[in-house]
Amino acid sequence: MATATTTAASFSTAVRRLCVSTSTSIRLRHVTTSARPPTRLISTPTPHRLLPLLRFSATASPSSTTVSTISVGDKLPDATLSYFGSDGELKTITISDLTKGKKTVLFAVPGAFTPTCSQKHLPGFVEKAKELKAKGVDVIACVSVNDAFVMKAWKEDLKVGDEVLLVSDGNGVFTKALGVELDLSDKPVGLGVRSRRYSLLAEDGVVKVLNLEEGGSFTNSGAEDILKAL
Amino acid sequence: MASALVRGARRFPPAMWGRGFAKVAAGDDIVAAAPDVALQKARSWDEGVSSNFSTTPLKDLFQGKKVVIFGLPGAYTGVCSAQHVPSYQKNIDKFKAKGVNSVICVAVNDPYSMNAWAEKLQAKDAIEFYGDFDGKFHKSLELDIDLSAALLGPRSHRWSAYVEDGKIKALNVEKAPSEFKVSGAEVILDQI
Repeated sequence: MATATTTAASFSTAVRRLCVSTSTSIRLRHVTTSARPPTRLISTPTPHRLLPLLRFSATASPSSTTVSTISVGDKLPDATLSYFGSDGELKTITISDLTKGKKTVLFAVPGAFTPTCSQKHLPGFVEKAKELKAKGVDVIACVSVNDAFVMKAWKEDLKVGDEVLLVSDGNGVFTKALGVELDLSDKPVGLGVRSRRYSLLAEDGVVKVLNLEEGGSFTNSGAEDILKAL
Repeated sequence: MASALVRGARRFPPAMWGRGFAKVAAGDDIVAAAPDVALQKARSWDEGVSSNFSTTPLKDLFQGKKVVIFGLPGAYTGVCSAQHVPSYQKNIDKFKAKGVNSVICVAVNDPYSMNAWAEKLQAKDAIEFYGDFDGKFHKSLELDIDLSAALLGPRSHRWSAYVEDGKIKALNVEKAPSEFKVSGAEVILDQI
């Protein structure tokens, strides 16, 4: 709370020093409740152009070098993903944590709460989880370019237990590093940039089996295909 | 959960979080501020298919109507789920009594996540949920915020506005997305 008040005070000083515009004809009615920091800031149209320090880009822009698509024999790039633990705490985990010294099955879906992902892809792996683990798989993880909150809600919605870990590649960094982005921005479906559907088996972080779909189609990236390859 | 969000966000100096303003202010036309922007109504995939994934242009939402609209960082997140949406849900009758035609909730989420969330909160009958999936709406109004540090990517500030026939009559923007002081229903009810 103290931080907010200090910020408000220093911010309002900065605004008063830099603000040159006059008020608009329609004024907001000030909300008066006790113990509030000055809210005049909200009603003053500030020429934000004069406050470059407080502006920052809306999108995180990773490096623009072209990345080739991941293939068998490659070492998986490291990245930080997030998820909600069973204790309800937001946690991060790296690809290294998921794959170092382990047999890991990683599969990606374009989007939580979308049909193929919800009805076939994820359930397929949940069903076959025991068989996969019996064949020596240590970790089964589902990745999507969704935030961890949505992944958690989706997990609960589909009643997935601990057999499959649902992790969020919230900023799409891992997906981009693999070269498997699926840009649906110009499509009206409303999904933006997501991941292509794929499943892979990695041993100590090295890709041994890779089933990469063209877009969101579901032909060879299911659980049975990974089982066959084991 | 909101505290986790803030913990991640606090890696940036507090000054960077001090907002409370946007590109638009009271008196501006919200549709003119965001030309060629459309939102996606929260829906299931099947509904999307049957509607040909139609989008809703801003003027359809605002022209000739009295609208209360609020934006939040993300579906299923702490303050958004526990306080922000419920605040509007609870007061829907008061809004209707003041002649408000619609109460809209918008976030930078895809329409399917928004839909699942709205259904979970059982808020669909009171509030209309829209997804600003590519963030264009919020970017146009400069209400966007980069929450990549919290692994959320580009999102929206927490804000609320009362718009009459496209003209913004009141606009409230929280100083930090984790705060919930000026963007609740009670505040804007007073401003109508």
